Amino acid sequence: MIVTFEEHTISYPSLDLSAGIHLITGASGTGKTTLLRVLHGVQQANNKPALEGLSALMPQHPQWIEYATMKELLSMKAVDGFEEDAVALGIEHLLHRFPHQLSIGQLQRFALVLALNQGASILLLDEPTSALDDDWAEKACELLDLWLRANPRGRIYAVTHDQRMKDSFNHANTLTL
Amino acid sequence: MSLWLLQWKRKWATLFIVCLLAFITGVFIKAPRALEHYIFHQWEESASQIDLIVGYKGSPIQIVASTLYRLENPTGNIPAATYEFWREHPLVELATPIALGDNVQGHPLVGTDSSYYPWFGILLKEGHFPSISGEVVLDAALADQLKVGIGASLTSAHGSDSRGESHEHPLKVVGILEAKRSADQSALFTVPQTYWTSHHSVEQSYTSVMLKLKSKAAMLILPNIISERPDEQGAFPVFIFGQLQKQWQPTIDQSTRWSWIIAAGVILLFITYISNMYHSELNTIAFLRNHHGNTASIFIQVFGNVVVLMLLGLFLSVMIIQGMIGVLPVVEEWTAMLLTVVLGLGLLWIKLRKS
Amino acid sequence: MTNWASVILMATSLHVSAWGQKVVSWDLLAVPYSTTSEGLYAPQFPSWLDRYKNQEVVLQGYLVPVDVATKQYALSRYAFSSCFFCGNAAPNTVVELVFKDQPDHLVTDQFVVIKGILILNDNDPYRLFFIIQQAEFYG
Repeated sequence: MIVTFEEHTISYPSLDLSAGIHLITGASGTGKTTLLRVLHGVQQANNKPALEGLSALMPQHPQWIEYATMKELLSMKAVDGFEEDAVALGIEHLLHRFPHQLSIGQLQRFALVLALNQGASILLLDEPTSALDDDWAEKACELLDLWLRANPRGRIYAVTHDQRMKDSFNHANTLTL
Repeated sequence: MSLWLLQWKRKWATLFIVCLLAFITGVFIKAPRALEHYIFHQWEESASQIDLIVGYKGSPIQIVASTLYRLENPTGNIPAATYEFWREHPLVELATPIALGDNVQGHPLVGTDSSYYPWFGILLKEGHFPSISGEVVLDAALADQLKVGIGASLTSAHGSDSRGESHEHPLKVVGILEAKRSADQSALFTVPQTYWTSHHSVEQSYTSVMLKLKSKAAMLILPNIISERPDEQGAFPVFIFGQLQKQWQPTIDQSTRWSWIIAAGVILLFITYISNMYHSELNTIAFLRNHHGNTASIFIQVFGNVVVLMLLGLFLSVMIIQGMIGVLPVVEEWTAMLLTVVLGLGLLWIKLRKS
Repeated sequence: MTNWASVILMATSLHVSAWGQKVVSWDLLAVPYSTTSEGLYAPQFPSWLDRYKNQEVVLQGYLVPVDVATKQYALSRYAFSSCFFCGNAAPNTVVELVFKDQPDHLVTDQFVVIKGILILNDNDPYRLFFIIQQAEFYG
């Protein structure tokens, strides 16, 4: 799969379009984040792989609306019932805080809640557990597993270097760039 | 809470910024015009009816300033025969004699006939116009100031200030006026005979004659006649104002130039404000983009209320400017303000599209 | 003698502009006039002015706004500021202007060149001897 941008071209191995979780690894600078952005459609490219269904992107460094509380923000974009996942990730008591009042780890959990609750059929996760401690990383992987069970046709493309995540999904297809 | 609602809290200041923009551009563009209007129009108005003033040989400016505004002493006296000559002249439609020189407690006493009042739109509120020697009329506000009413007695003094010697002939208030011009609001009016009686003049005389001519072209025929008559000086109010206008025009032009520069500065400031507004929403825009937001929907969510606030601000400031100065902004102002707002919104749109 | 002088004057002042308009000098317009019993002026137009009558002419002079409100203007041989009342200005040193398009805000004593149709007025004592109809700025 060759994706051309305005200035340059990145050659990717062909993308596995089957349901389930796909882990994407590779040295930095090989275009992992770019791939997710192209798949999500926020980065313009030629030969864009066609994904059927709505995607949700969880960036490595998510942008927040600094003047909205997490609850206001989630209410804008997440479907009803996101509170359940917030409880599971232990951040339900932080819903009334503003982004700048939260730690990176807490924000990462919020980003995951948001990604899981957009009604998307494709999740594009960029290092979803990088800032989480072991307990929350495990919990996060459990939630992803739950989501896959609830969405049998759903797909997750997760860029990760996290061994804990690779262990949790040791049966997953791995794409190495 | 939707983003749209959150934005109102963040962007309300835009209303004031737009008002300020409209004000500063409006006032600075309007001020020279208002000045121009004040200087020229007001003077023109009081001069438009009077084609020519004939007085005793002297400065035309002095004749105009004394006859129309009582700002100066008259140049001298002209005999009643001169008034008769001009009244009878075939090119003259209307001649009004003016006698000046006395005052009542510092306010000029104008000796004239009944034709004076319609020239300047002076109306009679109470009583009657003076018809015999010693009868005076004055504006209602001046009557209040002097604490006199109909039937009250006043004493005139010689000269243009109140320190002059008093005349033995007292004056009697017979009417209250409603005058339009400030020069008429601060003067008292009587018949010329009052002057002749109080001065024990052997010869009946005036200080000037205001003329309305049968045609405007006659204005240019008369100088020749006046110059052939001894001791007479003609003054064209419209030319005097023309000269004044020439004096003022560079000042007005200069201030017009400055006002455009200031307006341009304010517009630049406004564009900077808009640019900063955009940059303060970069995270929000990125967030919305990551959630499949297209340019139009992001624009409406993030800057939609700015459009509303800008239009509201423009509307409000136009209302307020109109209320303050009493005139609607001119086309140039509208164009400048609308262009700036459109430019600001266009800038937001272009930046958003590029993001 | 006087006639000869005017003929020479006429010859020097009579020339035709590049576009066919007749250029008129103030000397040409300095026609004699008499005073009527009423005290009005009556011009005596010499026959050599006939060739300018109702013709398109060009004349230069100083603008005199006679009525700012109704925007009536005249063209004067002499600047107003150079003592209009000292005998300089006579009925034959001013020309009434009827502008084709109403001009905007003209200033007293502005020196201009005017083009228009020259009318010789010998019947209306309330108007000037000469009227330039369809006046417009020239050049």
